[in-house]
Amino acid sequence: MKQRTPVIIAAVSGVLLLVAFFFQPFTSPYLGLVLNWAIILASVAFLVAIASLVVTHIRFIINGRKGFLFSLVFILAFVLTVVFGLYLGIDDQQYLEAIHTVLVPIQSALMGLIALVLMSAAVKLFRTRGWSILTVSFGGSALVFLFLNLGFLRLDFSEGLNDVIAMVQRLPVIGARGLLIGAGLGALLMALRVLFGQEAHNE
Amino acid sequence: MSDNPDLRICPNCGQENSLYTLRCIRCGEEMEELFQLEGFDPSEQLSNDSPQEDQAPLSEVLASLDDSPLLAEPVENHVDENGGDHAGDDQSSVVEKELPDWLERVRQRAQEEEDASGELSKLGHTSKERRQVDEAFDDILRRIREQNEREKTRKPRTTEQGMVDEKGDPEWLRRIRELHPKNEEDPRETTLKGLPLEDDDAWTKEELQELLRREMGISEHADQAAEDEKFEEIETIDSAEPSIDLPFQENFHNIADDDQDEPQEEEPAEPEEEANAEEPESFPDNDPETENAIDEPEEPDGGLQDQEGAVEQPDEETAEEAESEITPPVDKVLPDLLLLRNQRERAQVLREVIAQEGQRTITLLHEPARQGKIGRFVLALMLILAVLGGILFGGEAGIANQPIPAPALAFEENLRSITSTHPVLLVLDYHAATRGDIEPLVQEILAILDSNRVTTRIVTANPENLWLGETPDEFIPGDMLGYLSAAVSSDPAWGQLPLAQGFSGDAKIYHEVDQAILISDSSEFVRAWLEQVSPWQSGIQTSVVTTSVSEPMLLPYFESGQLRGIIAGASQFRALGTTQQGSINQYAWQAGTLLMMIVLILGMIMKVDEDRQRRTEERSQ
Repeated sequence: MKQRTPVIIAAVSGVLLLVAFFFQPFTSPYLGLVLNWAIILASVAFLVAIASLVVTHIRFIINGRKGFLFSLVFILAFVLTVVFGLYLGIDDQQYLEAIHTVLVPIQSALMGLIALVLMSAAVKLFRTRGWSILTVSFGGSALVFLFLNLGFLRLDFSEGLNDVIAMVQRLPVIGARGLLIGAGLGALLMALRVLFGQEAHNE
Repeated sequence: MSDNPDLRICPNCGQENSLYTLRCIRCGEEMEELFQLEGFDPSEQLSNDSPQEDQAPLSEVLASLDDSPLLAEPVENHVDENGGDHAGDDQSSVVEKELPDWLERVRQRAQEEEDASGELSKLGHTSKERRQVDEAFDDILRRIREQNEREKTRKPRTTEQGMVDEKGDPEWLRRIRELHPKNEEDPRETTLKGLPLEDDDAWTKEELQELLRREMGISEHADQAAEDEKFEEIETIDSAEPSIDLPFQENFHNIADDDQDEPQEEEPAEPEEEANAEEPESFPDNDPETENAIDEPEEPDGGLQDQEGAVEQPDEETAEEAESEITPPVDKVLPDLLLLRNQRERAQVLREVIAQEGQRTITLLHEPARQGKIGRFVLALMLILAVLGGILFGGEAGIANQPIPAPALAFEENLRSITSTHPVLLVLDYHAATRGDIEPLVQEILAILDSNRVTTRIVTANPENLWLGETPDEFIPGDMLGYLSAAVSSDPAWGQLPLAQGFSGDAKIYHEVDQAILISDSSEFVRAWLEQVSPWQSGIQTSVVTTSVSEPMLLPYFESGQLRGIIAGASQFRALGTTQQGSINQYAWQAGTLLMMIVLILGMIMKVDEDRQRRTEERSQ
């Protein structure tokens, strides 16, 4: 019974929201109220997650665990952000600029590292995976679509070739449609399993 | 002497030896102290030239020898060893029969004369008698020594008698077979196996007779040439016995070294005896012809010896070389320590394992990690140089007249058509990392809307966008749930909803809005908006500003009409008009994309080259 309680609550909530969606506008105030509760619960859960993160890093610092200096930096940055945000307010221009000067370089560097890792993976792909249908099709399609999207290929003299190129450029859309349809079907099946309490058997 | 009573220290080199060792295992020095008799010093006896001084100790020694148990002991021991098969009387009679004449005469005169020693001393003034006395004394000493040796070698044999396996093989023979496993298939060994092994473990009648004859032969061989033929037969049998001691047996123990060295201690034997002693080592098998050849004095050309291989080469040098290969250093082997070959090999393996302690013996699995780091460093340098080159040296020619995609054209057309007085909702949801791809477009969009005098309302559910925006935005708590709640709910009859109190502005963000522009680098956010929020606000037309990465996933929504237009990344900035910042970003993007293509092709080429090298190696093998 202890394991079935969350499943029952999830199923009942899903059914009520589904019914509320179907009986608009009579149920719209109740639907908004339930969504507000969900947002509040999610916010509280987010605060709990932040508190857990802070306590964990404080414990690392107290125990002198390897790499505790990173925990020290994290705690220091967190305290400064919270203190100055509460004291100056999130509308303060100096506060926003200070956050901006830290945030943008860090995320840009992270993006550059991702590009570097992708390049390294491109070099090692065929050496590690060998020649297979997957690797060959991936490498070929990547080269073709990167080249087409660069815009260097100009075929203004032939309408037919332009149509062919346009058709090739639409191939990613076909793949995207397949992915979206698959994701939609998966979400639908998952929702039905939750509504009928079938997820409890897998836990 | 050593502190250990079981060990004796060599007076020459100081090596500790077994108590019964005749020669030092290190230097080969003879351990004469073992054979010293109480009250008798042979060196002093031999070095003294005065005949008067010789008489008194000689008579005492001869008198004591008659009563000495050492001379009587072998007969009793043989009886014990042979059990009841041989009577003690028979043995004693045989011994008496084989006694030399001079000893018999000495005994007779000692019994008849009251002062036998005195008479002998008188008679001993002549040199001939003196020589006879010396020879008799030497013979007695030799007999005592040999009896001690026999007794010493007999003790371990008797102890090993009980260690016989079910096949009847004693333990020493099993050890020898284990030391020489290859020789077990030697046909010569089958011949030796045919001999009664019990003869090796017990003293037989023939051995006793052989012992006595050898003793007599040493002292009387010069006078008894008639008995040489018998000696040859006995020596042949006796010399065949050591052939059971397979080659290199002496290398694995330190007990039988004395036995091996014993022939060298003895006086030089007759050439015939030497030939008989060496022949058994050279006959290889039980071939009748070969057995007949044993009686021959020499082996012609050593043809049979060649069949034996290098194991039984009669040459002393080759034997010493082979011995040096197998025999460990003597000073490293403890006395009385018997090591089998496999035991020595295991000890050697253990020694090597200990020596390799702390040393790397196998290559690390992640050894190429250093090379990978260097490769990534090179790739990073290439990427940085390419982007910098695109930014610094790129020009208008590189991107001139590129075709504008249809979604971007639709977005531009929809944007310029907004002229209503209703506000346009701008929803921000992007990160700092993609701001270079999005913000130039947002600036252009705001400029166009401002030129059309369209009011805008900028909202965000991502706190990061509060810090990225130059002007404070309205924050929507709850991410997508906040947008959904604002789209679904209506004002209840009992008052405001809890989140309505958290809005800084009007909680009705969709109020009188007919155009919404989603500015996001996440296709998931746009998809959730279109699938969850838009159905509740069907009057709002949505268009998207996103990155090149997210564009393919949003194109289906554009083709289905759910999106009015999509403009993706800096590559499509020309749809909104040229700006300097947008051009710079496009140069860098093109350079990075070109470099990515080159690296991908490089990976293929490396794989092809690797396969070619592997095929070449396989062919060469």
